[in-house]
Amino acid sequence: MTDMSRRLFLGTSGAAAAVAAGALAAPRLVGPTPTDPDQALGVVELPDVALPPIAGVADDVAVVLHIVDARAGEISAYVGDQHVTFTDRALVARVLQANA
Amino acid sequence: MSSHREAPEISKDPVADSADVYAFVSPDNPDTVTLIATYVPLQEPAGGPNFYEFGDDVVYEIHVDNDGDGRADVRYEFRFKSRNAVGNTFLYNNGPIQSLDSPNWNRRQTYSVARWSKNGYQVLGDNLPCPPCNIGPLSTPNYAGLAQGAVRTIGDGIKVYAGQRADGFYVDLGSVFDLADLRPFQQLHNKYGLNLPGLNQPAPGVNALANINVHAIALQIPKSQLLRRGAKGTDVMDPSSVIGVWTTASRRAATIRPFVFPDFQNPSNTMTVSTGPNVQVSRLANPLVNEVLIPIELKDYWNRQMPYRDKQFRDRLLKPELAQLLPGLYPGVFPNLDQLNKSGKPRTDLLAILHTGLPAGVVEGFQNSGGKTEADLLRLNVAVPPAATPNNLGVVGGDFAGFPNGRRVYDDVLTIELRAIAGLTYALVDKSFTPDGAAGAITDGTSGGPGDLTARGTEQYLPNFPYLGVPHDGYSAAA
Repeated sequence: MTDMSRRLFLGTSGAAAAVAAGALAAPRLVGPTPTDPDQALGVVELPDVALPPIAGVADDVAVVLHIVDARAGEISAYVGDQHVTFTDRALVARVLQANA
Repeated sequence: MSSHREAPEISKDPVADSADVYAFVSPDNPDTVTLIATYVPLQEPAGGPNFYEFGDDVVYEIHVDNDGDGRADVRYEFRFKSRNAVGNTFLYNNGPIQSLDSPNWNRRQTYSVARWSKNGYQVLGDNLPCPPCNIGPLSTPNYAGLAQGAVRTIGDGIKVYAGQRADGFYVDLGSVFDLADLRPFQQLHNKYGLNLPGLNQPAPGVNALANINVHAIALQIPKSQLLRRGAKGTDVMDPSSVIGVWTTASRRAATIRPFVFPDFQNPSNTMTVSTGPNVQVSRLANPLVNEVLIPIELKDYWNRQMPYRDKQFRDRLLKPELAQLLPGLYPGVFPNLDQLNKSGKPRTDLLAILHTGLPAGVVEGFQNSGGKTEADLLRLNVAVPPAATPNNLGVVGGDFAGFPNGRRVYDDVLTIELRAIAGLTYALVDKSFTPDGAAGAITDGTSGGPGDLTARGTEQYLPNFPYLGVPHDGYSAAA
């Protein structure tokens, strides 16, 4: 995955905390046409944030988030060879809002 | 089949689908053990232009437990890389491939082998060549020699090979999966009242894999590297002479196919992304366990499990479905098995053969139980020397060097397990039980008998590493 994708993930995470504090506007999803990839790039406009260093993870490592249980805010993150599960209901809310 | 397409989900992922595992003391080098795992089953040899290969996105492993706890003490990891060496052609090759560095060979694969053990992780070999697939006499002349050139000696005196081979498993799939209508005995099948005169006479078995290839990863390893510390591997009755072997294939936990149209200027944007830890999707040790003993709804679940957790499946061995079916499929042929089924007595013979190994005292002068943990492992007592005159029925045939003491490429594992399930081996644990005569005769008929090491001439095994036969070429094997 590209660096942009990673920044998006981390930016979203950072933004989620801000959302919890009510500091950010809702994200905007561009062209939500599910059957047409050219029109549904799924780019969410979020404020850029600085990337914190992650030990052992190169910039081009793919990151995939799986919302395991939306109601509970349970998320699995797959990064490189690793996997971590955490709870972030605010992040889940923002992701679902972006896809609404 | 042994484990070809044995579970619903893995059957759709042949690159990661384990087909067979073999483990035996090398007959031509008895200080070593040969371990073979096969993948990418049911290859029709003419299947071009994109011939078969290992998955670059799959981690293949052969595991060895040497202390009987169902956990790997040593494991060998294979990772593959593919590349197009010629480029700008649809062809696998644009001329004869007469060497492993032939400029005519486009689609190539190399691999690395690493070992995990208590001493840590060690790369034993890298950038090792797989041979091409056997395409035909113009593309791959002298294939046997070409493929033999891909046998390499890597670190610590280990031989390795990874590439296409003739599938060594033999079975009459057409009859087995047609409601177990075994051709040599089909006149005895109940046929459900159907009037099918063609099935009223005995017929020889048909090896459905006679012209089928597979991909094999094979290792030949000094015994001392596989045994627990301090074990000599010379005393048959010593549990430390026993190793348990299995294979697994794993894929990354998360895969994303980017939701964008392909961009010719930037094709990497559309490439599949895989990330996260590797997740086991296939495993195999004893043949036919997942295939025959595990119900369909649990087969992919079984594939995801570790052997040390196999106790959860013990009821499937203690009361096997096929044993319940045989008396009905062949009325009057298995009366003693029928009584055994109705008695409700657990099939502890099958549990011993497949989950714990045969403990000392069951078969005089033999054991292959390295510990008490219930686990589906292909257990090999390395102190048993190779047989001078092999019997393809292995331990059941009085040849302790064969299945279920490990498994040689020519062992008739289908017949062995059919007979065991039919009750032949129950007498080992209950002396009052008399097996039906049919339990000692049942077979799919693909073997010419216990001394037949060629499956009626349909298999041409090699006398030395990697033992599985030269793969069938697409030109000659075409129907």
